[in-house]
Amino acid sequence: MTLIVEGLEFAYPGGDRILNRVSFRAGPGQTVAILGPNGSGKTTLLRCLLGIHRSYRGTITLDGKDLRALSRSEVARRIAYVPQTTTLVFPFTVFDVVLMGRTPHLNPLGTPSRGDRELAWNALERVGLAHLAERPLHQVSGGERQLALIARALAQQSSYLLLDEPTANLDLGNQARVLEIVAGLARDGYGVVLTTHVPDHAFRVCTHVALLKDGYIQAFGPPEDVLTSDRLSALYSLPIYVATVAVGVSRVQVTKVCIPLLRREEEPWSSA
Amino acid sequence: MRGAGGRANRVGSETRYRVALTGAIEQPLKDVAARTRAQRGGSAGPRLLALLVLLLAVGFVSLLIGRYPISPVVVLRILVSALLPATEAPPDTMTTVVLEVRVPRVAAGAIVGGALAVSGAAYQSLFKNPLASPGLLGVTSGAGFGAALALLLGLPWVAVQTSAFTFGLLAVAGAYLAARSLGSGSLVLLILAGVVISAFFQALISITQYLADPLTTLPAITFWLMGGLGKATVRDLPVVVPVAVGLVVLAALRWRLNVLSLGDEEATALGIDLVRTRLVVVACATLMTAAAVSLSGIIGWVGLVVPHLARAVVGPNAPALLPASFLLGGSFLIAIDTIARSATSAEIPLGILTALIGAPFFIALLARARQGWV
Repeated sequence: MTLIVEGLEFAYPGGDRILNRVSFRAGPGQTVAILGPNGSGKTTLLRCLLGIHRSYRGTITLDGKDLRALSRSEVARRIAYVPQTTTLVFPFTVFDVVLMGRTPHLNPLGTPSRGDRELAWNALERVGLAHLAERPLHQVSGGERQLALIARALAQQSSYLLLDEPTANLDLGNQARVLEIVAGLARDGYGVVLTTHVPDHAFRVCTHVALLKDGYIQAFGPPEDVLTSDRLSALYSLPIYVATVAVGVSRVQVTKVCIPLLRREEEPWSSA
Repeated sequence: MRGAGGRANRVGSETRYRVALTGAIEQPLKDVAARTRAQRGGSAGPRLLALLVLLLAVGFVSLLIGRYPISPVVVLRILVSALLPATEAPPDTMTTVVLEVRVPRVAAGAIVGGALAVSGAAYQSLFKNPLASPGLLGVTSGAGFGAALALLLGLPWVAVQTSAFTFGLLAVAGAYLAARSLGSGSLVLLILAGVVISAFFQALISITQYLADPLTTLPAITFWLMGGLGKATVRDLPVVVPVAVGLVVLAALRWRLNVLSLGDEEATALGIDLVRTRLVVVACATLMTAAAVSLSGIIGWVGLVVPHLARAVVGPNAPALLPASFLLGGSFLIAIDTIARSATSAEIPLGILTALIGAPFFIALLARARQGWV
């Protein structure tokens, strides 16, 4: 019961190679963060995992089956995708959109049954959005939209979740709320793969980190091993410090934060 | 003073308490109600029924109106005697006018209007674009050329219809194959290919008009391009077949049309085979539009405007949107055709009226419902 990526190589037709010998794995209950600069191939990697790009070399194995041997709906029953955001042209309600998560389970010519609606509603309650069920999706806030998309993925009843920068464009509170939900889903047994630009989030909720640069995996392992000052500085070509902080009074949480140094402030705290 | 202040405070806190209490009860109640509605599924049934009644009412009224007005009672008696031959028939002329002129025309209005509106609704979902219309991939331009060519060659009416239908299908097939040969499954390429094919067939139409006899053939071509239901007769019944095929297949794909409107990436992630589904939807919409246009000539605006109207009535869900589009499109075209044939002594071409009424109507709709599209 694992998602295994081995020696993945991909190039767009007539273009340079985007992914080179990419290998990693994500099992149930694990959360893998893919971290890398803009243009490092994160989105392409996600699109390969989703079965959108099928002309890759190497193998992607889902629960022991080759991804390309599965039909599109078989893939969709195993992997659910949460895009960064969605642009709806027509005024579908939050519930409509969550219900669309049932699509891979439907008879090809059918519509959702009462049971499908029940599952969609439960997914909506799981992310705490039931009170917005009948609001058009484009009228809710960015954070609520992200939660609705997560609910759609839950209604899909897959074993893996792929999230494309789930905290991008969210305020600090909503970032934390989304991270909490993601962590909860991993505890429930989902295998989670997410891309992010915030290494701090990997420290908080991820069991593994894959550093991606120029299409190569630079390192893969637990955040404490992978996310070092040296590696991050090399990844982003800029001095980055990893600091350990303890916060809280009655219940102290220890975590690490990554702080990039700006060129003009080599010693930012020396005067303090 | 102190007492009054204390009292005011107490009242204030009591009100707040009551507000909090009713809130605590009301919100869960609202959630339960929403949950029940969600479980039952869309509540579009009564609205669709109302639209069906509207279509029947508009159709019936249209049977009364014309150069030869007939009272509702007489029309009813004619319809009943046609269905039950045993009953006594009203005067012959009236029966002829109703059964052989007006009924085919009203039926043609319902079929053409309905087919165009459903094709438009399907295209708007498929292309994720509220401005998509049935002619987007060149079906109407192709059909226009097919009809113009047959008229230029002096062929009989059946040949004009067949030629229009065939060239409509050929134009879209050309656009689709051109897009496929250029790149894999890009919607933008498909639309561009449609625009190019449309322009190509428009040029061919211009050539036929340039070559046509200005006294006989040219007016015939021009009138065909402006659309009208004046030539509809019982003999046009076969047009129902392609329309019905398109309707049935699109109805079977109704849920997938919803998912398509999420966009390529998300639809794929939800298990939809984009290339195949898209091909089927394009084929159905093209089949229906080509059939409709071969009967009526080119009628713009119905396929663009009516789906928006239907969305305002039943919402964007395709399982309700498709039937609502059909019913509204039929009502709309019958109503406009009734105006076209009765407003002035000469018949006004339908395409002119749909544009004259459709354009301001569309602007009004944009102003009202804009928030839904951005």
